[in-house]
Amino acid sequence: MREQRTKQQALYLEATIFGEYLVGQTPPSAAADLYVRAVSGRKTKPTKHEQRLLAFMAKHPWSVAAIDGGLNIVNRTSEVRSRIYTMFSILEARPEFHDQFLSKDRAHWYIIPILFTGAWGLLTSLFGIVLVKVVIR
Amino acid sequence: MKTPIHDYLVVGSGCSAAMAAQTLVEAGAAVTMVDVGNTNPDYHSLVPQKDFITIRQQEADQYRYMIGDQAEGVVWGDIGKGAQIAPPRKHMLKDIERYLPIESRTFFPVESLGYGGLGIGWGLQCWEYSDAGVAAAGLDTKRMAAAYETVSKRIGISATKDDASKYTMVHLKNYQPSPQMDRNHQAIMQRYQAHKPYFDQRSFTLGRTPLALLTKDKGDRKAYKYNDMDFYHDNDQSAWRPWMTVNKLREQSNFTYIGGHLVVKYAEKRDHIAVTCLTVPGHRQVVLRCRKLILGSGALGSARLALRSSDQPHTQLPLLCNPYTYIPCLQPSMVGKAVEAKKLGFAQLSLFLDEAGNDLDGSVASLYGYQSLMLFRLVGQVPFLNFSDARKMLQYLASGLVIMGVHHPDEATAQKYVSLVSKAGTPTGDHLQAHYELGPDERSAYAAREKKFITAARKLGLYAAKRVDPGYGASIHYAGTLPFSTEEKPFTLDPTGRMHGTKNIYVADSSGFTYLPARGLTFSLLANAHITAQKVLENA
Repeated sequence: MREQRTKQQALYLEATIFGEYLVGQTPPSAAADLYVRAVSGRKTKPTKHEQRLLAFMAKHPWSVAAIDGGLNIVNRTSEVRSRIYTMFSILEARPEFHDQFLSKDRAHWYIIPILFTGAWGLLTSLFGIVLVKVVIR
Repeated sequence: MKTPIHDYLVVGSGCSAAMAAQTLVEAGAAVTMVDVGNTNPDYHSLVPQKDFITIRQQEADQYRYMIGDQAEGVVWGDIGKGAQIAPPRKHMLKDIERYLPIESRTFFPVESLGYGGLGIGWGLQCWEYSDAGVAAAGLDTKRMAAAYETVSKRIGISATKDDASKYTMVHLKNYQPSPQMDRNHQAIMQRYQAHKPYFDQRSFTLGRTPLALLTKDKGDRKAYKYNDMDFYHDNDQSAWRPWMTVNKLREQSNFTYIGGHLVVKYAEKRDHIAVTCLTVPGHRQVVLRCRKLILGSGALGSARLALRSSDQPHTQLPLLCNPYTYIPCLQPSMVGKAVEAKKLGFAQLSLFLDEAGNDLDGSVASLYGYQSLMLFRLVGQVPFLNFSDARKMLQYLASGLVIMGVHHPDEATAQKYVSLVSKAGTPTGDHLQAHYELGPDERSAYAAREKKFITAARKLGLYAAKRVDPGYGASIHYAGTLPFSTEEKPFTLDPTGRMHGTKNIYVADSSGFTYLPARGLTFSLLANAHITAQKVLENA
């Protein structure tokens, strides 16, 4: 029973961290509840390495972007990414965050920040590869 | 105690079964439809009558139908079967692994035990086969022309006379105007018209895709409102689905619907046919009796029944399935635009490649915009980036995304077959085994055509991001398992759709087709189901 509660608490913490990482805000409790339900109902469980990564991200939320990107290169079907992806889907289906998902009219020059995002994202992922290796060592 | 003998027993509730049943009922015959008929009523009542953007902006409960109460609509990993099926349509796939098990390393089909069968998620494309295609499929050209017309009157088809009409609506006269194209497709059409000689020289033709979608009211079904919620509900019934026909039939006194029954085999007796069913759930064995049996359970479902009911269940039956590849493209002129308020999620344009000029063995690409399936179905495919950065990129690029789905024709070879294998532990004691492999010539010919499509797409202002092979079976166009034959051979159909070796067992689905042209088969299988029912009545 206590183990179950601890697991649930860990999942709520994950939901909060992933929410803040993806949309820059603490997700509403309904979104966190759905995340916990969705992840608890899964047959797949994280491996030991993935557990370490999840624990590291919980302790160091700044690392989520890098670990997520790094895993996209070295282990794209990882359970860690699957969980972030689940939170992504949940947030996309929340009216509070529609503005961050629906397309908007953009000026031509907007391509510049987009290219910068891509380049920065790639560097983050490369750093993430190293970080993933360090954490699971 | 013996059960009553039904006059006409129709198996299934999908496109073929619904159309055959309608023809029989309209002729005054007493018809019983037996079907598993899974439904999902909880979700349907949830989806409001609003457009996609308003829902996204306002509805707190949208997650329930967008991703599901347990986020069950979120499929992680490579895009496989059912990934695009939204929670309100998930009943299309319910129970299939349990009751319709299939084992294969090469073929990954989708089947359905839902109320309305695979028609629950059908993309509505209503291409006629050319006369050459009809003949190659083993069908009667004259009767098919009339049957296409009948089906169009029943279900309501919207189409446009344009360059591609020779491929899309060969004979069809009864149709409504096509829906308005969204801005992406308008731009594509403008490019096509501006560069028409280029496409003519390369045997490409672009035109509107005929759809089973109303643009004018028809009875109690309403004209399409461009709400772009087509993946989530059938509100207004603008898009035709088989369940609508079955619901209408259920109002008739000469029609009976028996749900919750999986037909597992049949046996022809002296004066009737005994049809063995399993109740779902519960697995209680029930034997129904009928005078005429009409199978409409799809090419794979009918193959199962025919094999299981014979004394040679391990026989290899041929299999046809259109090879399919999809190519996500970027339309730079549309990138960085706000979501479009009035849109539709169905294919709007079709690009035909007919190098031989015979309107028979060419390939066809359907073009779709991307909006209401949401970013989460794409974001997992973005390479190198984390989800947060990928979201920013996709939010910018999504308005310029166009998906090109390319279908190729298919013919029977020794490398494409199904058979039935005993397997303990399954409700029916067996599973279907399938093998599907293209020959080297087919593979190289189709790869070459896909390259030509990619080149032609560039001229239309579309730049291919990658070519995705979703595996054989992904087209969901299955046929040819019990082919038409003038010879009296087991596991074949005579030209009336009657199974050789039987007196009163007919197959109304695509099992009889001897060839699959590239353009989708649904309109043709609807027409064939109508003809088969007519022939059943003629033989009565």
